[in-house]
Amino acid sequence: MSDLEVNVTVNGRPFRRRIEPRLLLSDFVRHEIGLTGTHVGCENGVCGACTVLLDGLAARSCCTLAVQADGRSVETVESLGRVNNLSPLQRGFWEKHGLQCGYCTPGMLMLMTELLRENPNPDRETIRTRLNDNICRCTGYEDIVSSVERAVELMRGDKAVR
Amino acid sequence: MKPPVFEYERPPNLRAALDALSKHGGKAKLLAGGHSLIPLLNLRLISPSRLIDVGRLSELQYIIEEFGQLRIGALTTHNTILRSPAVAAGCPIMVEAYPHVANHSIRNRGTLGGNLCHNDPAFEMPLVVTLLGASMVARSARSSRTITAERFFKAPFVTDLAADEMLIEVRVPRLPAGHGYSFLEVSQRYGDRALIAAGCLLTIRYGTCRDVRIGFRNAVHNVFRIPAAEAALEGKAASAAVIDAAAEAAAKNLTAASDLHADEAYRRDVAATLTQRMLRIACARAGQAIAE
Repeated sequence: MSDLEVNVTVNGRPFRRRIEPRLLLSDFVRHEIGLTGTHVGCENGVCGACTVLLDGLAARSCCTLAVQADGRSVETVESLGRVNNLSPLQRGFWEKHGLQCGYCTPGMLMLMTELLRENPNPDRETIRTRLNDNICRCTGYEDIVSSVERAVELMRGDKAVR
Repeated sequence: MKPPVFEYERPPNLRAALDALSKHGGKAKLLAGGHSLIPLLNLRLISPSRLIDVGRLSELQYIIEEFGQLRIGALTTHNTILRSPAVAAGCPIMVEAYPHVANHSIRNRGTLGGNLCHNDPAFEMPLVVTLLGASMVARSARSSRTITAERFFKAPFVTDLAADEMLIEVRVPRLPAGHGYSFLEVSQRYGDRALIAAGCLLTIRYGTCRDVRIGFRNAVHNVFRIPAAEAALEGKAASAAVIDAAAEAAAKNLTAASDLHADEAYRRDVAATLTQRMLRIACARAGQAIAE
C-alpha cells in the first residue's frame, strides 16, 4: 500500500512524516513523534485513555487515523506542564490524588483541558457528566472530580499567584 | 488491534467522492468521523480495500432552516447539531436524545450521516429521525433520490443505500409549535449502549392527542414504532388511564429481545415504564399536565 505524506502540528511544532494510511493517530504520536504520554487502552473507542485534542476538540486518537489529522493541530498531555512545573490541572490531580495507577490520567487531563477552556468554572455535576467519556478503573472517580474542582480554584487564583 | 491494510483517498469535493464511490462501489467504505468505522477496522470485523475520506467535505456540513423543514448536511457533527439553536427550536426531541449518543468526545467527531448509515440497533438517531418523519437524500454519481426514514433503515446495520450511493442530507419536517416530545433511555451506564431507548411525539388539539408517534430501539432489532400504543392515545383526551393503556400496549407489542444484558421480560417492563414517563412529559410539554 502506498504511504502518504502528512503534515501534523503536534503541541505547536510541525511534523512531516510518510505513513501508512492505516496508522492510528495514537500510534502516530507515540511511535512517529515519540510522545508516549498518550496511552492506548482499549483501542476501540470505549475507554478514552488515548484522548488528545484535535483542533482543540477532545478526540479519541485510537479511533482517528493519522491521515485524518493531516494539516491539523494535535495537543497531547506533553503540552501541559512539566514535572517541576505542573499546570493547574495537573497540580489539582497531584494535590487531590486524582490517580492511582495513572494509566487513564493523560486522557483525563486532555478531556478536562477541553472542558476548562470552554467553561473555566464548571460545577461538580458538569465535571461528572463530561468525565463520563473516560474510564478509570482505580479511583472510583470521586478524587478525579475533586482534582478538577481544585484545578478550577487554582486557575482562579492563578492571576494572583503569577 | 490495528486496522487492516487499505488504500486511502480524500476526494476534494462531493462530485469526486461520488465518482470514487461509483468506481470502487462495494469494496470501498466512506469515512466520515470514523467513530463507528475505525473501531470496526481495529477489531478486524471488516476489511474494506479502500477508504474514501469524506470527513472534510464542508459542503455537507450545514444546518439550514427552511420554510417547513430543517435540512441537516450528512457530515454535520453531533455536537454541532446538539448546540444548534435552529435544532433546539425546530426538533427539540433531537436535542433531548443527543446526550445519550455515545459521549462528548465521540460527538465531537461523529457525524449524523455516519451514525444513521451505521444503523447500530442501539443507536438513538435512527429512532429520532424515524419519529420525526424525516427523509434522507441519497446521491450517486448518476442520480439522486429521497428515501423515507422508514424505508431507509432496513435492518440492523443495513440501510437502503446502494453501494454507489451516499447519504448527503437529512430533511426533518417542522412539527407544530407547542408539540409534545420526550426521549428516554435505560442503559447499564450513562452513555452506554441502550437496552431500551424510547421516544414519542404528539400534539394536543382541542384537548385530544393527535399525531401520536411512539417508537423504540431494543439494541437487537431494527427501529420500530408501536401502532397499538399510538392508537391507545390517538384522538383521546390525555389522562392517566390512556397513558396506562399505551404503556401496556407498548410492553405487549414490543419487539422482544433477549441478550446477555437484559432478558425479554425486563425489556418489556422497562418499555412500559418509559412509555408512561415519556407520555407524561410529552403531554405536559404540549400543555396538558396529567394528574398522578
